[in-house]
Amino acid sequence: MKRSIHIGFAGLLATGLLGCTGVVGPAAGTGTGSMTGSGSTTGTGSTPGTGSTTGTVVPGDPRVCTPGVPQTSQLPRLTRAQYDNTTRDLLGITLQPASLPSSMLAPDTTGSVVQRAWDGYQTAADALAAQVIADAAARAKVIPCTPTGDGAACAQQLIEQFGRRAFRRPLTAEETTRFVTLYTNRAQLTATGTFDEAAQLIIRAFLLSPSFLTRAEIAETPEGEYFVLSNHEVASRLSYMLWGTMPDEALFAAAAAGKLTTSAGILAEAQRMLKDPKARTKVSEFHQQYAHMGDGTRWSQITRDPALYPGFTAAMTPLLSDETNRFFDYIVFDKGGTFRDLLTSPVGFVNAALAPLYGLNAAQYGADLVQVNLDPATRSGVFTRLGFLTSYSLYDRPSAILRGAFIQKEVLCTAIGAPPPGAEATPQPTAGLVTNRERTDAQTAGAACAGCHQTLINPTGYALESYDAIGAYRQTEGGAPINTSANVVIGATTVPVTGAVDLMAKIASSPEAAGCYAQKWVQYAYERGLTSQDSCTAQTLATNLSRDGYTVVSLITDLTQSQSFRYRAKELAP
Amino acid sequence: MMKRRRFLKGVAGAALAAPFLSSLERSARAQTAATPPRRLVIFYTNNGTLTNRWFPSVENGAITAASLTGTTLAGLSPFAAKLLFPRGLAMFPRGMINGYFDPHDQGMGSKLTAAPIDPAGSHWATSRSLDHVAAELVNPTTKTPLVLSVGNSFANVKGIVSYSAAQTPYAPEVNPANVYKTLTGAFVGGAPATAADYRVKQGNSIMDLVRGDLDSFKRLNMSAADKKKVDDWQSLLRQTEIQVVSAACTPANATALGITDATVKTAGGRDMATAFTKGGDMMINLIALTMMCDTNRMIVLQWPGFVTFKWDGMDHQYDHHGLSHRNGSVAVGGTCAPGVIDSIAQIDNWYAGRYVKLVGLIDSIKEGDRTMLDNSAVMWLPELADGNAHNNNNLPIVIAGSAGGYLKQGVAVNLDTKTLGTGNSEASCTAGTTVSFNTGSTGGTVPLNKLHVTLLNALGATNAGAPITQFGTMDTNDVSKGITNPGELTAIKA
Repeated sequence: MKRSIHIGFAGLLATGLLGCTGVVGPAAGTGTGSMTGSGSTTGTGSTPGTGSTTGTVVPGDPRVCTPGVPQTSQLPRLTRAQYDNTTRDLLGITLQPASLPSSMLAPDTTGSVVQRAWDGYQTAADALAAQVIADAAARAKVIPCTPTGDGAACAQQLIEQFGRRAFRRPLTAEETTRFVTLYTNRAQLTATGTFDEAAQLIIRAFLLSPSFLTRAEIAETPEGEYFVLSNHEVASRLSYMLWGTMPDEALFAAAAAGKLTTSAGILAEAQRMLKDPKARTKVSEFHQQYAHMGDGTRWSQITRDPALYPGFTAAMTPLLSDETNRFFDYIVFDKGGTFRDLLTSPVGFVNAALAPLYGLNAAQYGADLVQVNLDPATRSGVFTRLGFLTSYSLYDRPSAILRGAFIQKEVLCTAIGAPPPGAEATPQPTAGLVTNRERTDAQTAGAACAGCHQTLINPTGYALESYDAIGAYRQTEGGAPINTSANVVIGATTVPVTGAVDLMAKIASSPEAAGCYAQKWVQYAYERGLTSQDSCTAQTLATNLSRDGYTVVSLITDLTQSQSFRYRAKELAP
Repeated sequence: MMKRRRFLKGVAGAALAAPFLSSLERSARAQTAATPPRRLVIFYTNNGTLTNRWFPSVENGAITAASLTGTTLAGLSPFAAKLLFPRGLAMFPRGMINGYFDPHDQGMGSKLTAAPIDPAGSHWATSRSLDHVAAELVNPTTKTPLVLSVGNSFANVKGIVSYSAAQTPYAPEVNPANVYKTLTGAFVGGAPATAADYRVKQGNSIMDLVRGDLDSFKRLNMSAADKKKVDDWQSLLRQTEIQVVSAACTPANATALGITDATVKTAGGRDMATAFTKGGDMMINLIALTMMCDTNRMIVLQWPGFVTFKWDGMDHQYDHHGLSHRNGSVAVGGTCAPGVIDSIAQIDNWYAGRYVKLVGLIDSIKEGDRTMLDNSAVMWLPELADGNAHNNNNLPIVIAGSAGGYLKQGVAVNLDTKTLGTGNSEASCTAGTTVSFNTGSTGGTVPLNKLHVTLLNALGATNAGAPITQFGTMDTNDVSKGITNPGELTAIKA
């Protein structure tokens, strides 16, 4: 074999950009049917008409609304993040970021518990139970009484109260008996037979119980064609959806009082819960996924050619994520903002290191990020900030392809199929071409590339050419003026835009962007891939998003109001 | 009373301590190991090597200490008589397959599966990997391999070499404490006996309780998928109970290997320097202990590739991946980073040092009249041959140990028909400053699948009693052809 063509991390996003045969709307017509190549197993792009909610109805397409409640597992296991948060709240321990309980666990899967996962649960349960007994504050939170006599009464109290919080529902009599047996046999099971040693064993056993490790939904109360969830099951769904952790005492109390059987009762709790800082963390995680941030993404490994970009240092990499997280948090919670605000607000978060890239005077800033109003003529919303623009650039140049493809695929949910063979290896010509736009045009001029790139991907990215590979605003390149005018495909229409700010305004008011955002929220909140039943919820929320003043917080509370939030489907006949 | 464990008379010949049995108050049955178990350990590194420095000076013929002099593997000299260099192997598929090609994704996903990766989605491999097949066929109890890594588990196609099934990545264990935990559960005898005793009793009580919880789920009207999850969980508990334990599996032996509660804790540091140095050493120790305890006969140790070396005298500016491109970045081509060849050589030498440690440790443990290495195959397998050329032919592979006499020893065997050479890793960036891509090599295209087949047979795996003849889904770059060249590499068999 000859030398291989390498693309590495830099090329990851280049995959899946081509093969526009499946794109809906006008792009389907302008895309070429000739570029399917040998990509026999292409992605969604290979199915004509599945590009967006405006497409032709294909039976079974999860983007087509079919009212009802989707079938879901009754035994979803706690994810690693949920495990960390739950043990923190259940045991009253302080999480050390360097040694989270989840560092002992296997990676998240939805399948069966395998040896590797079970080993992890055992290690974590051992360590956590020992930690509780050794830590006076945690011990006091978990053990609600002072043992007297043989300690049996206090053990019973421990089992009932801790058990209710660990299983997120009251224990059955049979379950209580099982744990009491551990206490009764303490002399045989432990070296000293003391109350604390027995308590440690009981805590360990709870942490290894399937009823703790899964968010089991076991109520079998039929209502029509579905099972209605119990109050405690609804409480658990609420707390894991809005907080990523177990219910607090107020939510347990609402469940015990039977207040979670109506939409209004659920709404009241959701509104209360969204005021808690835990909700901010959970919403922040959503937006990090929305923008594809985090370890192992383009945001985590940024290197720039020091000769071309002396203004960039490795120390700026975490700041790019920080400014973006601060922006999302500010818009959603401090401003009480809308989806449109996410894409158009001029508010930014800047420190001395980032200020020069925003054209601001570094001397006026310190090490901490502070809120500023950026120039609304050049900065409009999250995708015109340093974080996105830098992450979606290459070592030595900005990338209209990466930026354009991200906006199309992730912000507008446009389906773009797999690239034809060898697409990633197409070199960028340089001879006689001054601007990145010219070179990108030439690079993608071939018949195999042009269908997707010239109509769909590149124009979207060209509107952002006014930002260099580290996000700084620029009006010229190599002496030539930057051209940010382009005809951008937004859903079923092609609209002329003059540049980044215009592009963001048009995307912000498009039903496609709102629909895409709503779909992603539904998948995140319900922790599952989109189903056709969830698609109905997403469509309702998307419609709401297009109304003025409908805030992101409203969208999140409305996620608790769907039918499938309160019910689960019965097993279909095999 | 239910029989929780069966005890095996130790592979090291140690007798079982009688007081331990009585303290357990459990029925135990001593068995005699007829022959020591055979194991396969795969030491897996990323981003290729400077192949021209790595290969021994002999391409086809006897390997002695002199053949290793001046090479990356000079540290293996004491074990020269136990080494096998299967030369001229190439991974298949290789290059553009099904319309997709990323050499790192493919190097990871296809290496142990001998199958294409998915051109769409997350690019997971489309077949089960060697380690899972081997574990199922030869492991005493658990049917999954022990797959280890250091540092952060990198859960995408670029970090996964092991697949429990098609499209099902099996992420490596990165926490030494988890490996240790499994082994302490298997410990027999030794002081303090009472602590071990209580640990077993508590474990059994908790197991009964977990089983009771699962039984209550079984009474529900669950979907078939949920029922299966409950069933699988219950079988897992049963499997744990009947684990057969070697008498060499003792706290004393763990301590002798440097494995104690305290050292495991220290080795669990999450920063990359600790993870690679103390953590890596601990994983190597735990591999040896796992082999002594015979809790797993199929072990993989991965070293992540996107790591900047800043320990043991190295203070690199660029990560290993960037260095392997010679320019310090994820891009290819461009300008040579200053001193890049020296930096890569440092990394190659460092990994060679870890491999030597692993081989040396396993060879230091007596098993009957031989050593544990003699009963094992410890293979260094790379993701790529040269990291800049990204080629996967003429692969630098070395196997220490004969797997119980199955493999040739002290020899390099050219399996191809032509002279192979050692590649051209220093064709770029030694003198000039522009990265060129002619750093790989041509030739050496015997399918790696055949080595996989040979190793499975060496472990004693069979296809319903018959020798295994093929592995993977393809051994050319043509998906439609399937396996065209079945059978073992007879030239490397003893």
